Amino acid sequence: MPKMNKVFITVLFLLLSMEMGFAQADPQQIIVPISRPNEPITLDISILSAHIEVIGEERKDAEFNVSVTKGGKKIITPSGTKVVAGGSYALDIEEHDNHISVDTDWGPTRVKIVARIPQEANLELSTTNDGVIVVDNVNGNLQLANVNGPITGTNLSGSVIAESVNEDINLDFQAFAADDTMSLTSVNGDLSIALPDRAKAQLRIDTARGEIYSDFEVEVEPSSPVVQRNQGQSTFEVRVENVIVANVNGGGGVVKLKTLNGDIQVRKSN
Amino acid sequence: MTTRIDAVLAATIAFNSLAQPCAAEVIEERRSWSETYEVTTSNPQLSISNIWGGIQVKKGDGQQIRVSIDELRSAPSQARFDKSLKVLKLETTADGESVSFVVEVPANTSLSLSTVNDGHIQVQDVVGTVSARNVNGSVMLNGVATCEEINSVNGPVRVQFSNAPISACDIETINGDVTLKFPAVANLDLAFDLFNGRLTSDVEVTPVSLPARVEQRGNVGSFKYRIEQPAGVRIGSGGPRFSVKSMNGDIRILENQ
Repeated sequence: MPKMNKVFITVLFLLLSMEMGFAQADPQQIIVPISRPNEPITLDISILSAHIEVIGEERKDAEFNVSVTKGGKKIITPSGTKVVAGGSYALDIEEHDNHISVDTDWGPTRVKIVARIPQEANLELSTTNDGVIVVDNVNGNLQLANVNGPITGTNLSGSVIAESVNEDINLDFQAFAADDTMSLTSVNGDLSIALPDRAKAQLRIDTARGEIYSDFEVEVEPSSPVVQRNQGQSTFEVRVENVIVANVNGGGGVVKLKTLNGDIQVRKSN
Repeated sequence: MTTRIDAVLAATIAFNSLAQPCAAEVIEERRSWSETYEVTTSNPQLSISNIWGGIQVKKGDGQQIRVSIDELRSAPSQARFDKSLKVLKLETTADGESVSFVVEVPANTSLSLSTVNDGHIQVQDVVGTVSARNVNGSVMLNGVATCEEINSVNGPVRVQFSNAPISACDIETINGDVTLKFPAVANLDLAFDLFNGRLTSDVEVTPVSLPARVEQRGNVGSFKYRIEQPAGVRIGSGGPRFSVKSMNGDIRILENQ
């Protein structure tokens, strides 16, 4: 890229950052002790609009770095309208009996939370608007929900339920046990899952309009639509579900991959 | 000297009496008088805790706290009226269902005032530290020098300072607008937390990054942390920190004319 273009892009980014009030307040760091540091923890973060990043490490406490990424208010002054950088937020972190919960007051500000926690952890992470969920190096039961943003996981092991409505889900597993179960669902986003080379898995794939790609050789089982009938007092419900069942390395833990408009990709972990 | 006027008991009794089914003839008696308390200290304090009705405090003459009382005693029968004479011991204004105060104090009196329903809190030309809480009415402070904690749920808050503030103040509303009026020479930092409201200023301000408040509680087995990061603007060269929070209200910064 020509040098002038780089300079122009850098200046443009800085101007945009200033206009949008990016992260000008100092980040806050909180170290949270854990009641029973040798046992797995549960981390529960549910915030309307947030960038949530969770990193597993060899440690006996949890470290949270919190900053504002968007949401500066404007003030009308005699000399014109000014952006008040930094936005504002109030965030509560509570630890009780190895359960850590993070919550914010209702507000328009988008916060960024980077949590460094013990590697053995169960996660319940959710956000709705303009959010991002990133998880790295965590072993446990993970429940990840992001309505309008992406979900990305690397170096994972354990069971995962991941849901997004409008964005992609991309999960990379370093280990996959036969009793692990996965569920990745999205309406409009692509689904991508990476499994170890020797992982034994049974894929249950359902995409209405997308393509399906696999790095693994798979054995597709003959399947017929599953029909469920539920009869109530005045209602009768019939549900017909037709999924592709494909075994990887002879089959094993169930991996459910379902999207309406997105593609599905099953990859081999690096 | 601390003078405490607590209208909770009196207001409740009066209200219970009034809440009985009305008989054909209502017995009423109205009388007015005032109470005067001599001030013997250089830092007098006045505390009024009301439930139903307004509070008005203004600067008086001399070293006295003078409470004006206008009582309307009402009962549905003579028997209940006689009973009320025995149980209603506090001199208050019984204006239908409410109790209102008009108090004159030495100018340097510190005030702690609160009411809930159908009342406004007004303070005029008192330079002692003022704290005020209201739920369904306004808080109007004119010509004050120092505020400490001002709180309103549904009513507006208006604070006009006679001098440049020299100490911090916390102001919070849910639905009310907040108007702050300072002298031209004021120097302070304004930390605000608005959800739906707008921020306007007739005074030139500088956006500034203010330090967050970090609170820690708990011990082994349970830890709680709270981070409050406000947005901030600086007036003049900065100074005491005013914290203003509102869910639906606007904030206006004005200059004394």
